[in-house]
Amino acid sequence: MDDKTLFAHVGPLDNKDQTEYEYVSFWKDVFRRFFSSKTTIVCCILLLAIFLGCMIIPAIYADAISGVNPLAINAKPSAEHWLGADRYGHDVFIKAWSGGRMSFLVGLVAAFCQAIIGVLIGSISGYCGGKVDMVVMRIVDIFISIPYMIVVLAIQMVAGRGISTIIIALVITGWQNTARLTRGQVLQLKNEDYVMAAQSLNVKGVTIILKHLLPNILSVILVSVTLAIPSAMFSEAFLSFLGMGTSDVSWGSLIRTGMDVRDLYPLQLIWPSILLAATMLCIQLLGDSMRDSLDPKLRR
Amino acid sequence: MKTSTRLLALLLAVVMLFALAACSGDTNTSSNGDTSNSDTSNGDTSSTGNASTGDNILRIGLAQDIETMDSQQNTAEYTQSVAEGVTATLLREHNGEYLFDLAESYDTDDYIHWTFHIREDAAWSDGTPITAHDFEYSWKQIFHRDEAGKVYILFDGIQGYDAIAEAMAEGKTGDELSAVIDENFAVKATDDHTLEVTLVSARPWYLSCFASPYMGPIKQDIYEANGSAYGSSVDKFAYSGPFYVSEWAYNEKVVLEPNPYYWDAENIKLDGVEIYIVKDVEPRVNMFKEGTLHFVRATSEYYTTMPDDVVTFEGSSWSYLLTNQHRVNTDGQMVNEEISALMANRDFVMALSCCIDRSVLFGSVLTDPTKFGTNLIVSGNLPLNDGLGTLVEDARAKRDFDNPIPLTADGELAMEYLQKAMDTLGYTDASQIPEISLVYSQGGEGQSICEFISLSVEQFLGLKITPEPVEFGVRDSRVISGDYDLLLMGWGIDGVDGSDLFQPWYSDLFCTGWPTAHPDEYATFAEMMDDLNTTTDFVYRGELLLDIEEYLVQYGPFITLNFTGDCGLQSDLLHDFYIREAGATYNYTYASLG
Amino acid sequence: MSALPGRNPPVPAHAFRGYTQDMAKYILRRILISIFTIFVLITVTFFLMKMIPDGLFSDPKMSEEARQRMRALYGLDKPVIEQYFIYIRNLLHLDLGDSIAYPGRSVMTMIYDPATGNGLPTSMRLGLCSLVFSVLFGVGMGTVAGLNRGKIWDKVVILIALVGVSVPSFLVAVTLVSVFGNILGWLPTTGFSTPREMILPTICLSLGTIATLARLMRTSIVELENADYIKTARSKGLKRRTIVFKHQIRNALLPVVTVLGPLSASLLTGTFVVEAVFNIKGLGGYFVESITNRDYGLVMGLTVLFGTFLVVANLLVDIIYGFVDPRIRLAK
Repeated sequence: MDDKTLFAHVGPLDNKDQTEYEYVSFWKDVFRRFFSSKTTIVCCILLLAIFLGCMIIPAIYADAISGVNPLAINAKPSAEHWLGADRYGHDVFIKAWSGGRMSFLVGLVAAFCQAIIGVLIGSISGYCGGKVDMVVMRIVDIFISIPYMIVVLAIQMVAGRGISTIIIALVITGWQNTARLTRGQVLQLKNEDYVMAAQSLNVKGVTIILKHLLPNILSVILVSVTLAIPSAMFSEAFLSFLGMGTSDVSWGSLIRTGMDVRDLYPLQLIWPSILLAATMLCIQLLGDSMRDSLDPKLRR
Repeated sequence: MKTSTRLLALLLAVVMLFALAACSGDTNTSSNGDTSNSDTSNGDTSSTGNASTGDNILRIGLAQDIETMDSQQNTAEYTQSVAEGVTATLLREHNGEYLFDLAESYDTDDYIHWTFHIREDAAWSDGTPITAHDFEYSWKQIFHRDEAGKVYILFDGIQGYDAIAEAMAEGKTGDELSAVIDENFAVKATDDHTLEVTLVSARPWYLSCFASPYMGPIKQDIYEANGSAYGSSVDKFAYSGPFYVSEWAYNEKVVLEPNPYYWDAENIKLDGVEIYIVKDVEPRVNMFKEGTLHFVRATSEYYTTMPDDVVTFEGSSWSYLLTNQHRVNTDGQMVNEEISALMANRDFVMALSCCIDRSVLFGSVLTDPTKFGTNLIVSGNLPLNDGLGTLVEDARAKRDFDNPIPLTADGELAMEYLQKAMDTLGYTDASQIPEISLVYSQGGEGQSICEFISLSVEQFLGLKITPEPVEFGVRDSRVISGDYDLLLMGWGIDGVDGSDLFQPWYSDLFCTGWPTAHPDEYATFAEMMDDLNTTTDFVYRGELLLDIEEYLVQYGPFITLNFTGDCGLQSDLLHDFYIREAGATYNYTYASLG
Repeated sequence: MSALPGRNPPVPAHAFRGYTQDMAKYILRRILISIFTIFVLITVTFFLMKMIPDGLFSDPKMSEEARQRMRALYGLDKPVIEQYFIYIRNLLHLDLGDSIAYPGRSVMTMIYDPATGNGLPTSMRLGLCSLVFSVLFGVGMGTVAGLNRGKIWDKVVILIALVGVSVPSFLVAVTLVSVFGNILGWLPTTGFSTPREMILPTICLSLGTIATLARLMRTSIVELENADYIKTARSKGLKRRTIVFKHQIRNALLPVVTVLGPLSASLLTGTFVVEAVFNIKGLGGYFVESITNRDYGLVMGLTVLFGTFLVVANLLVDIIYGFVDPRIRLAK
């Protein structure tokens, strides 16, 4: 038996015209606000351009960055090599684009994995509370205190040196922040009426977390994941600087070699640095903008 | 409002980034023009520096702290840089010649039995005399020193070493070991000023060992008071050399002052030596430019930008790619059979070798002064006072060896070799050949060399070689456990003799599996080595050295890359400073400033 | 903590007792947990290090016996469990053992060398200078920007903050050294003892932190513009200066305090790069070197030190939290 038969509708039949504002769904509103800023649009375009550049340019000009080109070793900028060539005769301009692939890979994969692990552990810990929470938080504390270089080293011993090692190390040492954040949010929301209501209806914990809690903290997590991307890229560059990076071509390793030759061939340092910094900047600004548009207080 | 602010900020930030970039671009463009500037500032500092020239103190930059002052614990280059100055030896090498140090003369008829006459005025820095007994004590004590594990093997040329090594392998220590040493070790102080030494065979080049700091004396009472901490701080060491250490601030600097009791103190021109530890190359070079330091090691890039300040020294280290022909795991079972088979195939190795353009690699990619060649022995490897040194050179001039390894890359030849190898091993297509890993120790130029090789091999043969960077110590532990496919190895000689370079293959020190994979080839080589180690005919020996070299180049379990010299940035003020060929350590004993 | 007489209703004495008891209990619990954390950290690192093969005794020139003897010399031949208990026992006596790469040198003297004052004090000085510098500038800049939203100062601060978060510190360091040291010759580029020497390293190390703090402070000030109590204060006709200093800044500082813990940690790791570029004799150089050298004693010592530092920093932040926000303290 449904409501309509029980309750008669009183009042004007067609009251649509009387709503003052058009109903806008939360995400639609977020979307609208997100793209209302010119900066965001510029950032999006720039980031997309860099990303596509990294994917497409090296694929087209693969020849310019493979093998050894003895004639072009450390060549000066010319029509053929816009920004000159490096010690193997590889085109500096194109090589930096190919380095971006690795950096994006590290950034995206590490941030994503951190988020998954962090959210999982954080929400369980926050929701269960009590001893579980206590134990999990201690584990988090310990993980936070282990210098990540030791973790990198230990994993390198087992898995060898490579991009995957760096990603794994970043995930192992990076999920705690998301976990803490999630836990904090869950703790706050746990006492909200709708969660209590669900609990009193004997809804399973997993369902409560997935259906009621996560959607409500999704925005916070989204922002933190976005901001984790540049920090992962940073870490990769930092490890390369210390000589603990990979031998794969990445922005970090290119900047590292560029550092060595900066007096002689500054472009080898500057160009990958610009790409890296621009990417960082864009993601950072997008993250900010995302946070602003997800903030319900600012909802218009 | 907010939006436009952000947009503006973004734009400004991008502009700023470019400005930053432009700034550092300016740095570099102007740093070339700036050389004149820095010259004037150099002039300035050297005018103030002239005051410091007045104080006549040599200042050197080192990339790493010395580990100990005691060279019997460690012969690492950094350590030796101080050990050379604070340790007196029987002889002292100076610019390729052997001068008498604590020994005022020596007698030998056959280069087997040596008698050294120690100076009357030889003294420690506290004024007490150094006697022949100190040498005997020191050379015998080394076998008791657990911390001297890296060094005692260098005494293997002295008769009785084998018996001692055997006793040690049996686990003998303390008095038991002492008994074995006293009975067998042919080192004897007959009185305070006479030291008799017997070598296992005629070794004229052993002069260079007698001149090495690890063969210097240690002072019994101070050593016994400190044990393994001997040499770890200023007051835990007895100084016998031309200098003593007055201050050692760990990780910061070592200050050396002239030792007034050194027998030749009047000929020491420096008023002191200060060794600064500056880990990063950039601040090191900056300190050199400012005139604070007189000598630093740098990297190829700086050598290219500052050609006027570069000095080069004869080198004696060799770099090559080891090929693991019989890779076994810790249980002795063979692993990676496919790759081992490839590595054991001479044609395959030649194919790789032909891809490497040594002239481009060491001429353009790396610009250090190296000799890229396939010789294993540099000329003048026996710089002996009595003229034996030219023997190898003479012998080489007379022969006409057609080296199969090209100095420039030869893609067609490489393909030919590869085809042959594939036919032998049953591959129909190059894509079936598995990926090969190439281990190198990071830091320095290993990365460039290995990336270059990987790129070249892919270019010419389409094979994949994956460079695998590891830490220095890890590289070594993988060498001694044979855990690699290809590995970039550097090797220097301890004494000034080419045979040192063959020794690793003789004992298969690098676990290449050569004796197992090619027993016949190894047997031929071993026979020549035995001959080399026993012969007393030095002209024949010179020929034999070259024979072995040629044999190894053709059949050895490695790909030769280059001979590296040594170089650094040196101030014009500094004279008579050089880097010793054996051990590659700084020699500043008779250096002067001004 | 005490309420000003006359303004608020008198607080019953037992409430205070409850408060201090609560607080003491909370702090005690946090301290115990921290000690436990440090202990587990030590254990985990110890066994982690034991998993890693050492590279120190792998000189191909050494014979196998020599290798065994050297391992025995450093007690590495004993079973790992025994080594662990020995380590813990020594640690309780503040003995971190000896360095393996530098014979005869104890890890303690490497961390703090009384003769030269190198090591920890230098790193701490660098870290503290940067922390003070970044808090002053970060908070100051953030406040200025927040209060002048949309004006020129706001834009300048945003600009600096954006550069700070998007350019890696080693690039900043290299640029500063080139510009101020090599080209202009205004400032020395090595060392960290005289005030002039301290300028460049401090700026390099602080830039990222300043950026973070400025952004945080700015957001927080802006958010408070619309807070009810600020509105109330305004409607009461309080002077703008009073509102800003008494209410807005003080409250806006809260989120800043909470990030100080992790921030000091990032300053600590940041010193690795800065110390290398400016040849500063702190701990950073040792840390990287000890890892590449496989110098167990030193790695362990430094990990314990850094770990303890982090745990203590987090502990302090937690305690401050507890004072600031009673809910946290009471949450079971």
